[in-house]
Amino acid sequence: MNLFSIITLISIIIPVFVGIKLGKDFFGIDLPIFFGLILQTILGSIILLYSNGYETKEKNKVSIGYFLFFLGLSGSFLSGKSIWLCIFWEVSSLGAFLVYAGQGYSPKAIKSIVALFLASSISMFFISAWVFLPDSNLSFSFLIIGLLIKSAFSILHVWYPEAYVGTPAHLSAAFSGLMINVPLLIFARYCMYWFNEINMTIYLIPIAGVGVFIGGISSFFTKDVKKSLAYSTIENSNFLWMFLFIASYWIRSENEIQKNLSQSFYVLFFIMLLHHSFSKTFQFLSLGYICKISRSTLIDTCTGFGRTLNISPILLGIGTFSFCAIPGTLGFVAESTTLFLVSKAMDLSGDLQSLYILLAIIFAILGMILGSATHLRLYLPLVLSVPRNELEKKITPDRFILFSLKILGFFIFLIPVFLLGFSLMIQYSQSMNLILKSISVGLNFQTPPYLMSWLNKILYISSLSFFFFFILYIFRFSHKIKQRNIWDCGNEYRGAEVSIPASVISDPLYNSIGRYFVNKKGEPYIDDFLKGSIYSLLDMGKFWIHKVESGEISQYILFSAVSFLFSLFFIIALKIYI
Amino acid sequence: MENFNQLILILLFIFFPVLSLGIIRKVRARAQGRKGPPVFQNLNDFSRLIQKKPIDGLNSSIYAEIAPLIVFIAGLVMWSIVVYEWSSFLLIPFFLAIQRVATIGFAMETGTSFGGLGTSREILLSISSEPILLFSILAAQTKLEISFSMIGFLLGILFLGALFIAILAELARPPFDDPRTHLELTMVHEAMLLEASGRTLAFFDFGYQLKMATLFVLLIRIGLEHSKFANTILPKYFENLITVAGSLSIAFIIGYWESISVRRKWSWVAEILGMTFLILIVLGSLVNLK
Repeated sequence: MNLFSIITLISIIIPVFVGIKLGKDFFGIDLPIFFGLILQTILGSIILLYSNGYETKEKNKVSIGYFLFFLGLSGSFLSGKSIWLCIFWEVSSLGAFLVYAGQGYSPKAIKSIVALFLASSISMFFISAWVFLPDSNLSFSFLIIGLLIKSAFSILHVWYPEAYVGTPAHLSAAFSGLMINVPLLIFARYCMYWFNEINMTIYLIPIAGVGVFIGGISSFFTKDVKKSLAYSTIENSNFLWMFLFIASYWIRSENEIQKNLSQSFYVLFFIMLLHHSFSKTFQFLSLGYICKISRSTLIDTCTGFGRTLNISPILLGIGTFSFCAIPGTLGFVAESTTLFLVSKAMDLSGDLQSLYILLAIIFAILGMILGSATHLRLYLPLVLSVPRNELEKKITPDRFILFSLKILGFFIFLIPVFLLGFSLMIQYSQSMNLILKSISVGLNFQTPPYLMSWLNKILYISSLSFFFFFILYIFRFSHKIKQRNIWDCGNEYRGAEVSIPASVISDPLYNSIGRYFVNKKGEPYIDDFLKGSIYSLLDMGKFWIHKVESGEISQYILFSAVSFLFSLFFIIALKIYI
Repeated sequence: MENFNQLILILLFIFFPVLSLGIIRKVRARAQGRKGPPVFQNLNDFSRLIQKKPIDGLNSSIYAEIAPLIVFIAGLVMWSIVVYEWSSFLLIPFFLAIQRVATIGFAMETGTSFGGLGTSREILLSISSEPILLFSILAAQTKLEISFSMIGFLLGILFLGALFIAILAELARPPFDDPRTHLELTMVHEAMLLEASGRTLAFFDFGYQLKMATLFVLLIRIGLEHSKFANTILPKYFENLITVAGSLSIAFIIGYWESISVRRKWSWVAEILGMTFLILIVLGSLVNLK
C-alpha cells in the first residue's frame, strides 16, 4: 500500500469523530447519519484495500480519487441543510472521476462519468432548492425529488445502469454499497416526519413496488454483468424506499397497530440496508474481478472464468447465497423479516390505502424472486460452469483482493451472529438495557415486541445455520472425494462443449414473461421510452435553431413570447401550489 | 389427549416422508394395472445407497462434498417446522432455497450436459412457482379467515387448488415434469443428480422426500388454519389427525394423477403458473376486500 492509500484509509475513520465534535446526536435523531458513516468506514476500508490489489497503474490518483469520494460522502452526511451539502455532493462525483484514472478513460468510462455527473448535477439542483428555501412542503418536495434521482428511484433510474458500464469493479461496489445509501439516509434523517404532509406517499409506495419489479426483471434478462448488478441495485433501492415510505406513512398514526408497523418497517429499512450494502459490495468485487480477468463484462463471454481462479467457489458465492436468502446469511435475516412484516401489513384490510400497499407488495415480491434468481444466473455460469477456453494455469488473485473478499464474506455471515450477541446482551445485561432504553427515548422510538421476538428467533436460526455450514465446510465429515468417474450418458462431451452460458437459464423465460417488459438485449422498454423522450426533448433545440435560421425578427419575437408565457405559467402554477 | 397428540406427530414425523413416495408409486402402479414396488421400497433403497461409497465426477469439488448433507438437513428442518410448528411457515421457502442452491450447485459443478439442462429447468420452475407458494404462505400468516359458507368453501378450494399446482411444479411432478420416465431429456431433479451415486445420492433422494412430505402437510395445514368449521375450535389432536389423513389423500391423488397425466411442453409451464398466480391475487383481493 502506498502513502496516499494509508492517508485515505485513515481519513475514512475520521468523519465519525468529526460528527461527535460537531455535536451530532448519533444515538438520537442523527442515528441514520451515524449508521451511514459506520457503513462507510467498514465498507470503504475494504473497497480501498481491494482497489490496491485490483489497480496496477495510477494507484496514487485512484487513492486521491477515493479520498475525495469518501470526503464527499461523509461531508454530505454531516453538512445538514447548508450550502456545504451541495459542495460535498459534487465532490464525491469529482472523486469518482479520478478513480477512473486507474483503468484509463475509455469511451465506456466516459459514458459512465457523464451519466454520473448528469444525475448528480440534476439532483444537486433540486437539493439546492431545499437548502435555500425555508422549511415548507415545497422545499421538502424539492429535496425528495433530488434524493430520488440520486438513488435511482423507479422511472428516475435511467442514468443508473449507464453509470456502471465502464467503471472498475471497486468503484461500482462503492457506488452501489455506499453512494446509494446517502440519499436514503438523508431522507430518513430530515424528511420522515414531513413526508406525509406532502401527500406523495400513497402514490410513491406503489411506484416503488413497480420499481422493484422492473429492477428485478431487467437484472434477470440483461446480458451484461455490471448492468445486471446495477439493475439489481435499482431493485434494492426501490425496496428500501418502499420501507421508508411505509414507515413514514404511519409515523404519526394514532392507531397502535399502524404505529407499530411504521416502527417495524423503519427497523427493517436498516436491516435491509445492511444486507444490501454488504452483499452488493461483495457481488461487485467478486464478479467484477472475474470480468476483469476475462476482459469483458458480457455474461456469456465470462462463462467459467471463476474456475480459472484459485478461489473457492463457496467464497465467490457468498454474495449470491445472501441474495438467495440462505439461512445463515444477512440476506436471510432481511428477507425473512420482510415477509414477516408484509404478512402483518396484509392484515390491515379494508381501506384504499392498504390496497395500494398490497399492490406494491405484489410487485415487490415478484421483483425479489427475480432478483434472487438473477444472482444465481450470474454465479452459476461465471463461477461453476466449465470455461469455454481452458487456461493453462490457474490465476491467483492479489492478496488484497483475497483478503477483502474473505473479510466481506465473514461480515455477511457474522453480522447475524453479532446481532444475536447484542440481543442477548440486551436481554441479560441490565446496563445495556438501560442504555438502549435511553436511546429509544432519545429517538422517540420503541421496537414493537412482536418484531423483537421474530428477530430473536431468526437470529438464532441464522447463527445455528452458519455454524452448521462452517463446520461442514471445514471438516467435510460427510464425504471427501476419493474416487472419480463419470456416469453421464452424454458420451464423451467435456470442457468447452458443456460450458453452460447464462442464456440457458434466462432464455426459457423470455417468451413467457420477459418479452412483455424487456427487449432482446435485456433492456427494459420503459428505459428505452424514457431515453427516447429525453433525446426528443433535447432535440427540441434543433427544432428552434431550424426555425430561427432565417434570421427574421418576427420569429425571434415569437420565440421570446413563447418562452415568456411558459415562464409565466410556471410561476403562476408555483404560486397556486404554495 | 396430549400424549395421543404427541404420538400422532411422532408417527407422522418418522413415517410420512417414506410413506408418501411409496404410496405415490404404489397407487400409480395399481392404476396402470401393475403390482408396483412395496410401499417402503424407498427406505430399502436408502439403506442400500447409504452404505455405498460415492464416486464423484471429474470436475466435482466442494459442492459434491457438502451439498448432499445440506440438502438432507435443510429437508429435515423444514419437515420439523410443518410437523411441530415450532416456527412460522414463512421460513419454509428459505429452506427450500437452501436445497435448491445446493442441488443446482452440485449439478453445475460436475460440468455435464445434463447438469446444465436440469439446472435451467429447475430455475424456470422455481421462478414460476415461488410467487404462488410465497403468497399462499403469506396469506396463511395473516388473520384472514374464510367463512363457513358456499362462497367461502369455493374460495378456499380455489385457493388450495392454486397452491396444489405450485406444489406440483415445485416437486417437478406431472404435468410439469415426469420423473418416472428416466429419460434424461424429460427430467429436472434426476437430470441434476445423474452424477450422484452411493451416499451422495441417498442424501439427495431423502432430502427430496422430506421436501415432498413438507409441501403435502403444508397444504393441509394452511387449509385448516384458515377454515372456520361452523365457529368451532377443533382439538389439536383432531386437527393433526385431519392433517395425516389429508396428507395421505394428497399422496393418493398424486399417484393416480401421475398414472393418467403426461408432461407438457416447457413453454406452457411459465404461462400456466403465471395464470395461477393472477388467479391467486384476485382471490386474495376478494377475501381481503370482504
